[in-house]
Formats: sequence, C-alpha cells, structure tokens
Amino acid sequence: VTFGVLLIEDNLGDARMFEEILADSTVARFVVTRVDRLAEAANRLAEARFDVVVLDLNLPDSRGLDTLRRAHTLAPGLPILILTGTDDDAYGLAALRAGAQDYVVKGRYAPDRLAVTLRFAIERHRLLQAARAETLLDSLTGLYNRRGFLDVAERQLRHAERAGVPALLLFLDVDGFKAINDNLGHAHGDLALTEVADALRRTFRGTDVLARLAGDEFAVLSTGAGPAIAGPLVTRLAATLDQARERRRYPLTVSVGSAVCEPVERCSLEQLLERADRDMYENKRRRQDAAALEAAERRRE
Amino acid sequence: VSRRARILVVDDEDTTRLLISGILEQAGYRVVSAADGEAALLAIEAERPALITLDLWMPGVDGWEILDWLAQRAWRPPVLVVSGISARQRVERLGRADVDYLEKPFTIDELLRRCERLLAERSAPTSDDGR
Repeated sequence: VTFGVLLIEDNLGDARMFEEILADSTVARFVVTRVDRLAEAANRLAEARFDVVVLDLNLPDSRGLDTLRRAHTLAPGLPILILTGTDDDAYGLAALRAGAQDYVVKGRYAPDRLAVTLRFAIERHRLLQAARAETLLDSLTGLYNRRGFLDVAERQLRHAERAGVPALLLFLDVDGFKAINDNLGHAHGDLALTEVADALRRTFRGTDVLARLAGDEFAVLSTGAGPAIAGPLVTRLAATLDQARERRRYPLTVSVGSAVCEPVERCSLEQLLERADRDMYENKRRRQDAAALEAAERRRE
Repeated sequence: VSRRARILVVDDEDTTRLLISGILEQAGYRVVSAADGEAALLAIEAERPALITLDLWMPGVDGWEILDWLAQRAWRPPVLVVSGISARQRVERLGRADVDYLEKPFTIDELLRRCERLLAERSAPTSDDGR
C-alpha cells in the first residue's frame, strides 16, 4: 500500500529527517510531498490526493493552534498529525481537541514507530468518518437520513441564500407503500424503497441533497433551481421508476410536493418541508379523486 | 390458458386493489376491479370474469357473502381468496374445488401460478366459453 503524505514543514533539516525515516519503513510505502507554507499546501491539496497531512504548527505564514485550525479548513476530510518541537503532553492534548489525530515529537522517531503512527492515524480517521457517516446516512438506501438531511440541506439553503439563488425542496411519498408491505412482504417493501432511492440518484444532480426522512418519505433539496424545473424533474423521476417496471412486475409510483425558496426570502428548512409535505398530500388526494371519478364513470357505462 | 383472460379484482383497499390489478395487468391479463361487495356482484354479472381474486373483509357485502352467492349459481368463475392467515381454515372448510386461498404476504410468482392453475382447472360449465 502507498500513502500520500503532505508534509507542511518549513525547517528543511526536520523535513529531511522525517522523510528519511519514513523511506526506510517496512510498514507501508509513503510518498511525501513537502511544502513550507499553508498557502502552498492549499495548492497541493487542490492538485493531488493525499491520505494524511503532517503539520508543523509554526510556519512562516501561521503559528500555533491557529495553524491546525486553518489546515483543517483546507483539508476537511484528512487526518492531521502534528510535528512538535517540545514534548509537552498538555500541548499535545490541546492539539487533539482541536482536531489533530496524533502528535509526534521531532527528532524522537523510532524507525518503524513513525510509520505505524501515521498508518494508525489514517485508519483511526477512516473509522471515525465511517461512524459519523452512519449517524447521518440511511443504512437501507445510502441516502441521508432525517438528521443528515436537516444538517446538510440547512447548510445548502444558507449557501443559496448568500449566493442569491433560489432553492427547491421536493417531498416524496411512495404510493401504496403499506399495500406493498402487506401483500408482498417487508423485503419487497425495502426493495421498493431502494428502487425509489436509485431513481432519485439517477434523476438529480450530485450536488442535490437526497434523503429518506422516514418510512416511505423522501426529500430532495436542489439549490439554484427555480420552480420551473420542478415539473420536468418529477416527470423524469416517474419515467425512471417506470423503466424498471418490467423487471419489478408491479407499478411503483410516488406522490410529490414542492416548495420554493426565492432568493429574496429567508426560509427555514422546517417551513419548506412543511409546505412541500402539504403540497404532496394535496397532489395525492387530487390524483386519488380523479382515479375514483374515472372508475365511477367506467361503471356507469 | 390465455393470459388475455379477464380477472375481477375485489378489494376495498384502493392501494391493494391497484397493486394486485397492476401485477395481473403487467402479466398480460385483462383486469376489472371492484371496491366493494355490491360492485363485485354487479361486475360478475356484467363482465363475466374468468377468475375472481377476492378480499374477505369488506364493509357491506363481504367476501364470505360473495362466496355463498356464487355457490348458488350454475355459472360461476373460480375464486382466489387473498387474505391473512386467520381465514385459511374457514376457507378450507368450505371444501370447494373452485375456491383457492392465497395467504398474505405472497410472492408475485405464487399469485400468478395460482391464477393460472385456477383458470386451467376451471371445470364448472360456463355459458361464457364461446366469447
């Protein structure tokens, strides 16, 4: 295995020692890229993929724990290991609390110890990320769960507000979901939910926030999209669901409601959800009424 | 057995009726449906279905009454009762060869297999064969 290491260290001697010890490692292969400023680190992070950031806190363009915080914003998804000149537990602990995975004291590298420390920092970070994702994702469909949606969609909504673009919220409910469960069993019900999730993924952009809120209720937040796009999106979603009908062998449809937040308004996510939910129920009822009327007319003939 | 055979789906629950109708239609059958017992009796007379799928528990004329009503008729289509486990014994006690029982939840394959078998075994003389 090869790991990409971004070393942010302005002292050339310290950097060379670090690189040499890692090069001798039998634990794994590490490819080290060195920069001596945070500003430069930002460029490298944009260019290439790294597995871990190793950071000296005192740099020409930043000092102390502030360096750690700034590095975190630059590389939000990466574990950060601190290089420190002093063996001070209290300082190390403060760094951990500020989001570092671990810290190593310069010059005290036992040969394979440094490699193991890096390897473990990467793995611990990965486990932490997975645990965090689990609390925000719906395990059945892989979409966000309610908590994840409230968290991520809220941020998107604020972002849209700052950017001065509209946001569109769709609320969806699987038609006759209880009947699918009761007649075909819960395994089939779960299958129907994953099919809806797949259809949502194929219909919407990667930047849209997709979620299963509860049971058979789904939500989508699409920013930058005005009310005009709601209709075509719903049509496309229905068509995508219908494409799988042959294989599924029964009709699967959803009822959809929408709510739009115009750039001039300040909308709360809760409010938008409520509006879209209400709109969905009205649409569903309208469709049911139309179907009942049609059936009654057919009987009269 | 022709997949073009006409099946009457009787269930007072809209979503269940739509689901069963949808499965049968997609399998190639012609489907008519009734949302209650009275509508079912009218549809049997008017549509002369080759088979009925029947929900037992409905307000008004229920599934049991429809089974009784059918028993007294010379021409009658076979019936597939689709219901929960609680009704199995009572349906079996009727001892009627043209009434089968499918327990919920069921698989789509099982539903189609039972329908095909009832249509194939349709032994009662029908005034409808030439249609």
